[in-house]
Amino acid sequence: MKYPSARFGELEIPDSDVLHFPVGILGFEDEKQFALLPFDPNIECPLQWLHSLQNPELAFVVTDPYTYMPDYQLTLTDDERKQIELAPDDPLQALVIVKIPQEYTQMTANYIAPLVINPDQHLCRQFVLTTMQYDTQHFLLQRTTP
Amino acid sequence: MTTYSGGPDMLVLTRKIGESIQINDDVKVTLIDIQGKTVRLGIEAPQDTKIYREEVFLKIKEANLSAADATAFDPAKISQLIKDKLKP
Repeated sequence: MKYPSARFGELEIPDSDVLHFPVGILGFEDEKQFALLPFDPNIECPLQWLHSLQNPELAFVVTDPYTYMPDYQLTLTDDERKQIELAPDDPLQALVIVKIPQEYTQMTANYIAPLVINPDQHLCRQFVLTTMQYDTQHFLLQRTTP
Repeated sequence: MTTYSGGPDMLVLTRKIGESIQINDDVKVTLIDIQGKTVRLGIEAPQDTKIYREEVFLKIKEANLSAADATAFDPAKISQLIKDKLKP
């Protein structure tokens, strides 16, 4: 199906690639459908766009947290897993929302509220981790050991 | 002293120190102590119950809202910075 996009003009997204967010994203509760797009079609980059298919203006930059932090601690309760139809022992796939300020070196990722995906059902939900270890703004480019 | 009167759908109960509120069969909230305007609450709930301070949710909402406000930027420069960072 075709969707309008402020950033890309028009998006052609097959129905099988639509990601469903049954409860939206915190602050965007009415946005239930998104698609993942390359950050830039001509550049290889671990960043992606999570583009709303309902609001042509709305797109988040997202990335896989494990790329930057291989020991990222993501645990969900069985109840939370059920909300996106995951079994207790299914591996977890996640994306975190990236904020890109004017000074690119200061870009941050929200590690405390990952978007967890059920890739088979194309279901996705933002969960809030109870750990005190993470925050909404982690510097993405920071070296883990200085 | 300012008070909060609560929303239209809010059940408002009065409790003394040491008294509790039972929610469903398995959640118990106890008023532990009062110091001026600060109240300490004790919460007993099953292991997998998620309990957050409301500010955490508000902070995440704010983070989402501000991340959605992506202005024009240079993807090539950003990609290069990430590549440099991920270099072994």
